[in-house]
Amino acid sequence: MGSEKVELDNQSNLSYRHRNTIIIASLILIIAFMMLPQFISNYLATVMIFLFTYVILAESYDIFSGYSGYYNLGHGSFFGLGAYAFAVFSGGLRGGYTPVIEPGFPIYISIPLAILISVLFAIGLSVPFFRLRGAYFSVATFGLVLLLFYLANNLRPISGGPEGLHLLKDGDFTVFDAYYLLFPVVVLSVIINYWVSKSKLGLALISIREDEDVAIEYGINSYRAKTKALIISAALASYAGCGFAYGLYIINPTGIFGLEMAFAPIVMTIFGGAGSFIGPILGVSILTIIQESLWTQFAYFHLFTYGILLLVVGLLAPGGIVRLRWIRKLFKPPA
Amino acid sequence: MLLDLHLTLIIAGLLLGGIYAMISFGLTLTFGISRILNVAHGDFLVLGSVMGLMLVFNIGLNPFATLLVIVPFFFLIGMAFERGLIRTILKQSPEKALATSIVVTAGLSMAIEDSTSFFLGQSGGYFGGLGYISIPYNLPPINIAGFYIPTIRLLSLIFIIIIAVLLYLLISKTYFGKIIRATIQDRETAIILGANVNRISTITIGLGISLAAVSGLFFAMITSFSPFAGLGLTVKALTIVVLGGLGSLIGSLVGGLIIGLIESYVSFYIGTEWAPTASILILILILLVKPSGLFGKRESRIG
Repeated sequence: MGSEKVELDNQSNLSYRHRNTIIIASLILIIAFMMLPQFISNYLATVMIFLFTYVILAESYDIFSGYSGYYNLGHGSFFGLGAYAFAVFSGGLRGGYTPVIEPGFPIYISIPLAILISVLFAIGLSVPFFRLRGAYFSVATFGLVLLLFYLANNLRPISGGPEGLHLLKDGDFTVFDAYYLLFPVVVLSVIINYWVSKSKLGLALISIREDEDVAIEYGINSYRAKTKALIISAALASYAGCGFAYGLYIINPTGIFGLEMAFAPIVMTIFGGAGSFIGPILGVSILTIIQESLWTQFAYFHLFTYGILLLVVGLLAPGGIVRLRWIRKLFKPPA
Repeated sequence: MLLDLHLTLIIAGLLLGGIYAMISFGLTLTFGISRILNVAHGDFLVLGSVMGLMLVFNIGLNPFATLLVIVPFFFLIGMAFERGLIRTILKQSPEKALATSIVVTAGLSMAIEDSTSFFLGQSGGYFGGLGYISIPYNLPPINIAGFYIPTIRLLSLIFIIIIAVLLYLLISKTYFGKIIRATIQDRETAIILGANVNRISTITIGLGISLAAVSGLFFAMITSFSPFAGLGLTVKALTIVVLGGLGSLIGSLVGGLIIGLIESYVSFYIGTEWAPTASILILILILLVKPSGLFGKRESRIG
């Protein structure tokens, strides 16, 4: 597998040349993002909620897949499960033939419950699914997203069917509440990704990526390492689901389990560079900004332009943007 | 009467399964020969159906006669696709190539879907802005020994069987097919033994893409779908490929037929909306029992 140098010392090492600059820049960025809601419109705040959701999803996807080398195409199932569990627990208007208002819990109860459900789901998955390898794992996990999508469509009494669920909002709810709900976890997910890359867990995952059989022979409990990473990944993704549902307050199967939501964070991660904590955030930011500006600039062919752009950059920057030479240079250790 | 019903269901299932098998067969060929994932596979199917629709509407060709145009045209498209994109991707190391192929073909898929829907969905655009693809073609049902059988479905089934037999002969009886199988089994060894793998890849992927386009034609004859159906169809084909075992040609055939029959029966007895659920459940169940698919060899790792 490892036809090239194992990238243990990649972008994830902050003891590099521009360490202080990077830390200060991130602190300034964090403060700027905390202040941002003072200056932006509701529309832009909604865009930011999408951006944050994508960043959390991409970072959490990367925690499992980027390091372990298993393409978990079912990452969206944690997100969707979180969103739906949150919506069901917090109650609201259930779509369908006869809309019903369901009572529910406040968010500080329903979010932990939703995360708990996703984590239990991840633990349940780990037993049968970690028997699968390579492309089989990817397709089977992708099957999970589809399965949940169809179930959300068909199980009307719980999910409200294709019309979905509407959360009921207090009078003083603004979209900025969701902004502040999501943003800390965006920072947290980047930090956790960095921590994983430096930890023993990350080392175990990377050795699994390079050669799982050899890793097992050297005494790595591959099942445990993968399950741990999957649980972290699932918890973060389901939190993103909660925040997303809270911000949009209407969820339906297409919006939550649609191919767009399931694929976009993964494509963005690979685009930015998997297996590094900067890659996902870079990929998501660049692509979301491009997508939004294309969307508003061109009446037609924005998807076309976006697709061609993905194609060209994918060809020119194998391994993601972070592995481009001039970006790597920024993080190179002092000679 | 009951037999009549089952006959209809089985024909519908086999036809759907045959179409699925053709889609998956194309994907297996592409994956097997180059070890990359073509996310845009389903979009070539949609393009095939759009071309069929154009020929039927504008020139008035018989839907079955459009095969004569669609097959060579998409063969060339597929060859260009291999030359332009896949060969560039394959210059990278295998693990990176798989990831890159997902991004690159996802981009291609978006570009195709957007332009197709633009030309189809415009009000006053092509086909009066229908927004979906379907080839209307009807013949009176035929009566065989007291059973009424829908003619179009039967004819399509016969065509698909002919194509399958031709493919079987090509893959298993000719020298060319032997090289394809050798390359799928072990690319490096095939190169060492003197196979011109580059040329074989170009032709095989051309074949895979034209198969996708042909299945698009048949798919549009039995149902209607939107220009955005491509990604969903890729996923379905992928499901079937994995169900049958990656790189196994017979696996994708059997997998396609199983899924087709299941969907046909489940739609009738439980409800159309449960058909996709059933096929996903079957996939997950089979993988849990046999982690490498029905006909797949136990492989340590792909990608």
